Amino acid sequence: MQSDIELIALSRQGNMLAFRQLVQKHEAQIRSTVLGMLGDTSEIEDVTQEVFIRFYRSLDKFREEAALSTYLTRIAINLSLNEIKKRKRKKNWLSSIQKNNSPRDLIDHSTDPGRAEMKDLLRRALNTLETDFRVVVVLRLIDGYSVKETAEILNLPVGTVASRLARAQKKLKTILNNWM
Amino acid sequence: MNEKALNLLIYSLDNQLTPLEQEELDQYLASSEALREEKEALLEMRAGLASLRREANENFADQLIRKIQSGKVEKPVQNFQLAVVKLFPKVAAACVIAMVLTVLGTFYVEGNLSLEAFIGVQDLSPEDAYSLLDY
Repeated sequence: MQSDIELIALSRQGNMLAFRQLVQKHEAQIRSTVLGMLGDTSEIEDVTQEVFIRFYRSLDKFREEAALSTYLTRIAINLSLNEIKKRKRKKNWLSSIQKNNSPRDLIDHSTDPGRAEMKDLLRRALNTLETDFRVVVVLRLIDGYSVKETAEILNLPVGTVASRLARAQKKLKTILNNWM
Repeated sequence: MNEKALNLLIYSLDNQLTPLEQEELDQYLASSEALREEKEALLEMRAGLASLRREANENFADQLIRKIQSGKVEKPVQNFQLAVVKLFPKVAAACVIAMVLTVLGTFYVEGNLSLEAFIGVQDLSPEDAYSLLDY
C-alpha cells in the first residue's frame, strides 16, 4: 500500500486514482470528526465533501511537514465551527421572528432523549457541550488522537487540552446522569 | 466524592499524571468503592464515545471524484478568474442602471441635461461663486 506522501505526489500529477485512495483512506475519520462536531444532521455529507475539495484545491500548496490526517482534521474542525456559527445565527434569527409572531414560548425537546439508545444519548450529550469542550472530546475520545496531537491540531497548550478534556468528561457525565 | 481524587482519576485516563500523583490516585482507589465505580462509569462512557466513530461511506469517494471531474471544483486561481468573468456582466448592468438613474434624476430636477445641470452649478451666478470662495 502506498504512503500518503506517494499518493499526494501522484495526485499532484493529476492521477485521480491516487486522490481517490487518499479520500478512501481518510474519509471515515473525517466523517467522524464532522459528525462529532455537528451531530447527526444533513450537513455532514456537505461538510465532509468540502474538506476534501479544499484539500484537492490546495494539493500544490500542501507541505508534508504535518501528517495528512492532522491537516484534514484541522480543515474539518474549522468548517464545522463555521457551520455551528451559521446555525447559531440562523437560530437567533428564527427565534427573534418566533418571539415577534407568537407569544407562546417554544418548548425545546432536544434535551429530552427519552428512551434513545446509548449512542444517541452520547451524541445528544456531546451536542450540548460548548464547542471548546466538544472539540477536545471529538478529537481525543472519538477520533483517538493523543492529548499532544489534539493540542497540536487545535494549536493549544497540552495543559489546556487536558484540563478541557477533564472538565468536558465531568460535564458529559453529569448530563448523562440527569438523563438516565 | 473527593474532588481531588476525581480529578486525578480523570487525568489518569489520558496518562496525564506524574508518578507521584498516580501513587496518590492508587491510594484513593484502594480506599474508595465510590471512586472505583466512578472509574468504571468513566471508562464505559469513553468506550461509548469511541464507538461513535463512523465507518466509511463506500460511494463517497466516487461522488467526490465525479464532482471534481465535472468541473464544479476548480483550483483557486482558475476559480478567481472565473469569478471575475462571471461577475463582469452584473457589474456592467449595475453601472448602466446607475447611469440611467443619474440622467433621469438630473432631468427631473434640473429640467435639462446640460453639463452645468449634471455638475450642479446651473443656477449658480458668478457672484455666488465668488461669495462661496470668500467663505
